[in-house]
Amino acid sequence: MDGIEPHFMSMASLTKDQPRSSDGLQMDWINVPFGPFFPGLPAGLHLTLTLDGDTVAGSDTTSLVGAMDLLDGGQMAAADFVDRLAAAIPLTPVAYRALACAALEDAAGIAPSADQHRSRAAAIERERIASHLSWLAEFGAQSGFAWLAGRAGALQLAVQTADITGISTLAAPIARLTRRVQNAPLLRMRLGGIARVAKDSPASGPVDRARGGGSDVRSGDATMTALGFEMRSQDGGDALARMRQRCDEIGQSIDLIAAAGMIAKPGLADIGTASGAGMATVETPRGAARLHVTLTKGQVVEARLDTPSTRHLALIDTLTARRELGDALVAVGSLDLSPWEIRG
Amino acid sequence: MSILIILLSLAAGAYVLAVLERWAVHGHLSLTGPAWAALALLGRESVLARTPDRLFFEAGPVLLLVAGLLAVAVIPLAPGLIITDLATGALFLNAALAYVLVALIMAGWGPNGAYGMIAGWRFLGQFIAYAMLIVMPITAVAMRAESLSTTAIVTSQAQLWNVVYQPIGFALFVVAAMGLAWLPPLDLPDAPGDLAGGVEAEYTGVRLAVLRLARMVIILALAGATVTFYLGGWLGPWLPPAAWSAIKILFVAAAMLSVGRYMPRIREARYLALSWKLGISLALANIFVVGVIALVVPI
Repeated sequence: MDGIEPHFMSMASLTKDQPRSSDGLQMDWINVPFGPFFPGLPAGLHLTLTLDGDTVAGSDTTSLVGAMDLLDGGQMAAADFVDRLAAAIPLTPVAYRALACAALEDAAGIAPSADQHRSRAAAIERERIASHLSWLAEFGAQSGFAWLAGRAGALQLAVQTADITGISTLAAPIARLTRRVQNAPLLRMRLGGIARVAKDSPASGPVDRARGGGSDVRSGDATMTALGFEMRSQDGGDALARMRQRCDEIGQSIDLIAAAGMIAKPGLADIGTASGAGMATVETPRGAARLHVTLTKGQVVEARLDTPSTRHLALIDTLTARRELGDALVAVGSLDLSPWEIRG
Repeated sequence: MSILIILLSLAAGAYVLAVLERWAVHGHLSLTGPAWAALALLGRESVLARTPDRLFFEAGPVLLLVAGLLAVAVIPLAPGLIITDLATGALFLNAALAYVLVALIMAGWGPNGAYGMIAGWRFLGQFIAYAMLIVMPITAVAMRAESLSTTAIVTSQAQLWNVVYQPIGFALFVVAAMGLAWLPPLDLPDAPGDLAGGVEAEYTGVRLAVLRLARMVIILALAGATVTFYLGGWLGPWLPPAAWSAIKILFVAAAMLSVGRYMPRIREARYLALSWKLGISLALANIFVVGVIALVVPI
């Protein structure tokens, strides 16, 4: 070319066929692993981000802990299956224990008493409070909000084993925490507009309800209706709306537990040597989980599980694309994935 | 003699600061905790990253420490108790702290790891946010003192501390200083939740000990600068001047360490936008107001 020295190394020609950033610049793309043990993400989640500078160009997410078979061998006793499923999802064992019990009782044609329904519902609501507080603590740790991480973590531990009286004692400090979190202007700045989930994307639980409308399995449950449950939702569908939705649900769960007046770990009714197929759906803290089971002479011979985290996993690629790294990690964190729930 | 006293004070200050940091971050007040942590680091294997840029990897933490020590050299703890009383001390402090950026980029690049490298470049972005907000408030402070000497700046506050005389400059300087020391909520270069330690991620053993010591020295230097520029330096009743300096510096450092505990990390883009759109406008207004006051009602 005229006016250019013969050995001039042109950046334009050197980078001609290499991938371009959205701003037109060419940079080296690197694959960076986040997890399975990363401070800002749940343990067991393996997230690999392809970074273009500090902007996410692509992602790949897997769980290293969610591939456990539902059945130990070809078949297993119903009571053992309940314990196995609860142990397989250690972040929300009560909800999955209740799910297994409900599915097996449906297969056996047994209807639990009203009191059993109420105490199970209260136990799941207690777990919902603990789970959402745990998410707040994790978010605090991820975003460097040490006070939130410490306070929410301490309340979560207290809630996990609290009885009805304990929950009512903890109601005031929990309300103060959630009020403060929802009103914090810097949190609004940190989360507002990040990771907006489109209306047509597959989602459930708080992620679904935070985008306006949405669904909740509890809406169709007679026990929950009797306890005064009404579905709550937020507008916006971004990370801020999801945080507010979870804070709102914490307060609602405290009220539901008080209305139930009893709380007990879900237990399986005696199903004897019943045979049949059954199905149950439970609104776990992360969304609706559905379990299909087949019983043969009191033995579980087939089980299929559909979990909310498996559905939410598909959102990560869209929510992180072209996001700055910090925002992308907040986006993943705001989905509240449980690696143990991710099947396959 | 002054040099020895200041270096010993610095070592003691760094230790007290480490105690305060553990208290602020972990909620445990342990007087011996930092000593045990330092011993553990010194006894631990100093792992070398695979295919590092050895020069940058080794020099980064040392340069960070040198930058902090150079900044400390122009901070007066009492009349005559200063390593070097340069006529351009305020400018020198700013120049010394500019090497924090170089050191962090070297320390981030050196290990040839993604977290550190991103952290180093993040700090470059952070530098663009805080750099002007370090310099511009210092300009207003020097205008009042009619000198860049840090000793003269302290004595210029005999009637009224600068924190009252120019509160906007004080607020801007403290926030910028927290950005320079990458303290929460401006800890983008080592954000544990984003980058698993960032610049520190690939350092272990002695090298990590040097890196952490350097950071403590930088925090102390910036707390010292805040005290010198805005809180009357060694000035105060009853107690000896050096005691006032020590109390004020530790108080400012503790406040800088603690405040981030109660807020989330700010987004990089938001930090840049706030610094340039709001911060620089306020800093210019501060210079104008201080200039007018200095001309009309000199205090």
